[in-house]
Amino acid sequence: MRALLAATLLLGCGAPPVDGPYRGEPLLSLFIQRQLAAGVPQVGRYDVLWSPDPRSVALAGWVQHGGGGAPTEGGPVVLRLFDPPPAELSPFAVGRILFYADTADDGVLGPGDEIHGETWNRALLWAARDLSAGESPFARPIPAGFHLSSLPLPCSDPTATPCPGDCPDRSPCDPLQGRCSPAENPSVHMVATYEPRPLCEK
Amino acid sequence: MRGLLLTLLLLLAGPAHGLPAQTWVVAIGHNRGDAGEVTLRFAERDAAELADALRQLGGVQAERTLILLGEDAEGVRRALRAVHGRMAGESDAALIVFYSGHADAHALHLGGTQLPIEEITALVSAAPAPLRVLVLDACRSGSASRVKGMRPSRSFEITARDRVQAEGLAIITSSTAAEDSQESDELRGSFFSHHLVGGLRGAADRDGDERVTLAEAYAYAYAQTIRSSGRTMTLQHPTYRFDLKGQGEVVLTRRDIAGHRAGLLQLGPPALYLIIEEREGGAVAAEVAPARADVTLALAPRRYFVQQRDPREYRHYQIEVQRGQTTRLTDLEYRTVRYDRLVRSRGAPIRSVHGLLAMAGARGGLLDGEGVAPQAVLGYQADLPWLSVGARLRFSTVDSPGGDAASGRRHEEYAAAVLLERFVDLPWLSASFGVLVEGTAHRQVFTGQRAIADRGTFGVDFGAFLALERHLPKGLALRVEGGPLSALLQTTTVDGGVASGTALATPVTWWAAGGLKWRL
Repeated sequence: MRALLAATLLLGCGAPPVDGPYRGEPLLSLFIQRQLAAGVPQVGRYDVLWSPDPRSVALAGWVQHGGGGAPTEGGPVVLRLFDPPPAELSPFAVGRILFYADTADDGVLGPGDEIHGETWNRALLWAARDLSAGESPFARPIPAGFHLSSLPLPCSDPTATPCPGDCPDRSPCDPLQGRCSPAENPSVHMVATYEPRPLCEK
Repeated sequence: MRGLLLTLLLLLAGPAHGLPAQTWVVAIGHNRGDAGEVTLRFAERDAAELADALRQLGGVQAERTLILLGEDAEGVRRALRAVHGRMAGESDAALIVFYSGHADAHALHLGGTQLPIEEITALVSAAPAPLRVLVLDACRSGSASRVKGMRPSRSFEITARDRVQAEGLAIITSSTAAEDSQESDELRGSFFSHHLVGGLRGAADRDGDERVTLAEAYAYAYAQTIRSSGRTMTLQHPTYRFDLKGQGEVVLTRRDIAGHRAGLLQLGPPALYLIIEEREGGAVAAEVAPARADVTLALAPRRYFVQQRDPREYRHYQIEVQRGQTTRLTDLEYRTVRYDRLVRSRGAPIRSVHGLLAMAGARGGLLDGEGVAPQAVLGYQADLPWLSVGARLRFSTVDSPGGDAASGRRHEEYAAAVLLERFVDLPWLSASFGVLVEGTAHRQVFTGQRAIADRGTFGVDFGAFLALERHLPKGLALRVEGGPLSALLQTTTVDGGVASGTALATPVTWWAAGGLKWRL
């Protein structure tokens, strides 16, 4: 009887059931500051495209995965990442954040979808595990997980600038720039232009 | 006790003698006892019934039958002495004295007068007849149910059994010295007298030889009195003393006699049979429970309603018994009535019927994105006279897509409910309406590729329903039911795919189920 009671109590344990299109707890939430010029459509979809090579220019080589930002009509935008980049990109990937017209409304950046803008100040880094300087494409160690790094990325800068190691809580170190990230609500700025370009200087 | 009875039957087995031609029957009945004793309703009727049975089925001549109703002690003394005088010189005589009324351990209470038990025993014992039988269905006031009885002390039993020394004397009492005897409104008589008469009419014919002996009549009345009194708060055990050595069996009634004066009804398999005059709801003519199949009863020619009480149902027959003819119940059409209907119509001696339930069904969506949820229900139901109550366990599960392809989820419900319902029994089916309250453990399991922790909460559901039941063979019934359901549970609200807070949700949906009910 006690076991039955215990089992019944366990059934009802945990946070209350969700009543909506719940996707889980996000791995990363990005607050996007939009700076859209006049004439740029306000409605679109935000998402992250991933690639193992920050020098890659053509978007065809980038993989859309894990972002799936909801369509928005204006106001502050929060882009939540619920999944890590695809396993085939392991152990490292760099992500660029795009704002595009999802004409098919399928959450996928298709050939006919116009890209309205892209972040100009930040890119996402992801390491499936702790990467040593030798494993990192930037010749710098990168801790496991997501990181927000300033652009341009130091693809050709052999100078390793270590993190100071004293970043306050909730202000993770930008492993590529050797600076502490903003403390709360890390935001990225988006402009209303998009030009195919690499995320770093060669 | 059963072994003792069988031994008795064996001891008394031998050449069967019918009642002698010069048999006298003195049937004494008095509804009133001493001052302060409640007036009985059926004591005088008991006496008349027994006399009638012996006259009709035992061949006792009408002019040798004395029915003393409402006589005082002196009247009974005078009558017995007069019978003594009439019996003098009759070589093949017998005397059967029956008394139904109030008594205590020492005396019969006859309308404010008392006739000592020692004296009536002596009067019977001293009768100039080889065979003498004294039957005492003695009673006294006791409760609102008009409990009859001897004063519960040892002396009465000793008196009744041991002070009789004569050869050829049998004494039967309706209860032990420590017990009360009871009468029944339903049977319109005392338990003991009613079953004694029923036995004489044929129900006691244990060996099927178409004759009812004194031993068979006692054995039958004993068993049936215990059964009937077992439904009350006071168990009643008849007692006997037979001192009939060398005389073999004493046949009290015979079918060949009965067949000319009454009609015969051949019953079916062993069961409890309630034989009611004219139609259902009429006066009970006999309640018999034969120990073997095809027992034949002798009844007054007329129409009867017969209720055969089987373990799972009643069978209702409407019959007509005709003089000199045998009506066989097994040849007749009958109507089946299940116990649950009987309980609900307050037409059965039992107060409740219990059953188990297994059903499958569905309910409508409860939370966002949920479709129809299949569910399984196991339940217990008790039918009571005014309403039916039930308890149930329910399990349901439904998958829903969640926020995206990687966050699909399953909502499981483990519920325990109590129900109240009121049936309306129609000729071919039973309909009911009711309400239920259900405690539910909700569990949400995420089945997509994304690792998301399970969630859960407890809630309460309130529902109303309509149900239809149709009886099937072997105690089964088909049941379908359904209605609205309102849930009350705490949920997590969602914004942008993530949890944004909690809220008390009260979704309203529907549910339906169907399955089988098995009456225990």
